[in-house]
Amino acid sequence: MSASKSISLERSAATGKRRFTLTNTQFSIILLLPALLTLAFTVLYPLLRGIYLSFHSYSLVDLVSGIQWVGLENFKTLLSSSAYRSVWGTTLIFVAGSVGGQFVVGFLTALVLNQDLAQRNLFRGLLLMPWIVPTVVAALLWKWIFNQQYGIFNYVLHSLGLISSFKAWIGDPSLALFSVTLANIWKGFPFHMIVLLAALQTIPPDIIEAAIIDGTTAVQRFRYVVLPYLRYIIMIDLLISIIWTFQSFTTIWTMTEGGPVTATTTLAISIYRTAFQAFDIGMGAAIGTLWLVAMLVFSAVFVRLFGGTRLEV
Amino acid sequence: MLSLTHRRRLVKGLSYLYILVLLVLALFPIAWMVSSSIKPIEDLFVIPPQWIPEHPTLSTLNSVIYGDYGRGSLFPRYFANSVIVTVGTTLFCLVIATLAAYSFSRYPFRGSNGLMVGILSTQMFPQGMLLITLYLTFLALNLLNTYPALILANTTFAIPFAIWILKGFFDTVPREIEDAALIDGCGRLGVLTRVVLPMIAPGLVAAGVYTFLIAWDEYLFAATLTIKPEMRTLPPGIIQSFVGQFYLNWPNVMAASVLVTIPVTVLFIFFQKHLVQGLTAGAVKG
Repeated sequence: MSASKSISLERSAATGKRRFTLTNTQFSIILLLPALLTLAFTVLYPLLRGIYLSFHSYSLVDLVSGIQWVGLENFKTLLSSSAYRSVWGTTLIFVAGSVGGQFVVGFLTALVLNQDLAQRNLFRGLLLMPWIVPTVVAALLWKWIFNQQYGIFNYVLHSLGLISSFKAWIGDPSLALFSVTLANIWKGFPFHMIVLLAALQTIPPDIIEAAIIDGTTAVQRFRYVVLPYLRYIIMIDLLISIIWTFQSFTTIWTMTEGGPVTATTTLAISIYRTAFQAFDIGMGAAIGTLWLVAMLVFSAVFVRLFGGTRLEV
Repeated sequence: MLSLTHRRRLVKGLSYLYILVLLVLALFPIAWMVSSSIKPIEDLFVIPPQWIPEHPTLSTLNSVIYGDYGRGSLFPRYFANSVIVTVGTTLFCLVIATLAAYSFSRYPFRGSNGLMVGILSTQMFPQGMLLITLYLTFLALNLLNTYPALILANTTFAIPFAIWILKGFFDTVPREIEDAALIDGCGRLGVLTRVVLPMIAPGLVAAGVYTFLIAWDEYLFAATLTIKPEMRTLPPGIIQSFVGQFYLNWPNVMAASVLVTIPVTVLFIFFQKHLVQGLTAGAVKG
């Protein structure tokens, strides 16, 4: 970089004129401008406007009143509503179940694939397929599998003697959340598998060999060599997937539309229903604002607890 | 106590068994989708299920593509819309993300790491909340039901991730090569386009394929920002065509699902290596 800096300031020897040159910082910012301008329009402005709207009453049904300042009224309504609290409960169960399931299956598979197995790359490719299938397709497919009368989920479980009668996996409020979570685990585990497998392959073999010579057991090596080595990547992997799963809309919407009643209504579904079905824009924005604050706090705490250092990307 | 060789053999056997079980769980649903898509309707609704179609037929696929009972099908239109929006999103994001990622990788300034963390943390912003303003803005600009609206909306999630992937690749290029090209009189932009970009071609492919996959997948924005049926992309298009409130046209749903999955599967088969490399380039620095 020092070389380039000196070049940019140097007078052109041939002409003797000072060339019009940008400093590296100016050049850097010009490269960033298209991205920053686009994201300012599609993300930053909508975010700020959303926060602004959350302090207002604004209904697309009631066009006469327009946008009216209501202060903290939307937030007060939300925080005192048991329906809102139950949406948070549903969201947390969905996120914990999905990410937990995906991570455990993904990590276990990565550890298995990290051995010297024949056809390892073929297995990895085939196991990525659920992740490649479009989300709408996966959701419709699982809805078909969970079909009460003709779905193969009931048929297989019944044949194995695990259930005594065919169950309404989608239609029964006590089962629907389990069903969408299971579909989401199926769809999402390959991402963790890929990321963690790549991370495992960066562990220098001699560290493991040294640990083996020291007479450690496999469990000890996992606990004291592998896990510490993967700490940062596990943090990133979990953080990304927790954030994404909070956002997850398509799977649930396609399978249940948040129902039956509100059994699978997560925050993402709740915003959509409030803002785009009940047209209560102010309240939808307020749900989003509280969710955002929660994510910011969560991420900061998570990175602090896990990493201990600042986030380096 | 087993001897070491025996134990190793046992671990290996269990590993293959685990992979086998997982392969069945991962692939069986997809096979079931394909099987369901080529069955005549009377073979679809039977218990016990027909695992392998006894009377395979392409009639359902046909009616999805060409329509039936004299009604035309919007499926080809959805497909074209999806291709346009997805390719548009991919090209637009790739150009913008490449410039930004290069800046973050090679010309960091005070606060540029913070800016990059900021861009990545936009993934935390609730999409439904962003959608409120995007919807109102595109409504005011008369851009609902247009491709640019969908492409712009898709940038919200596509640009940050593409920047992350590409920065991982730029970081692997040795600085000395660029310094040599600069001394040879190549401008900074020339260094990027003529020297560095060819070296990170796999990264461009990875980011491009990844952007393609998530744009092809996108449902929420497309369902909200398009109201006219003929402007819908495949995900909301399928739901609109075949999923009613009380009735689901299962044969057509499965056939359409197969058709939507084919392009991304083909892409994946060709670019699997790049995609895997790309997904891990940003996260794993080894």
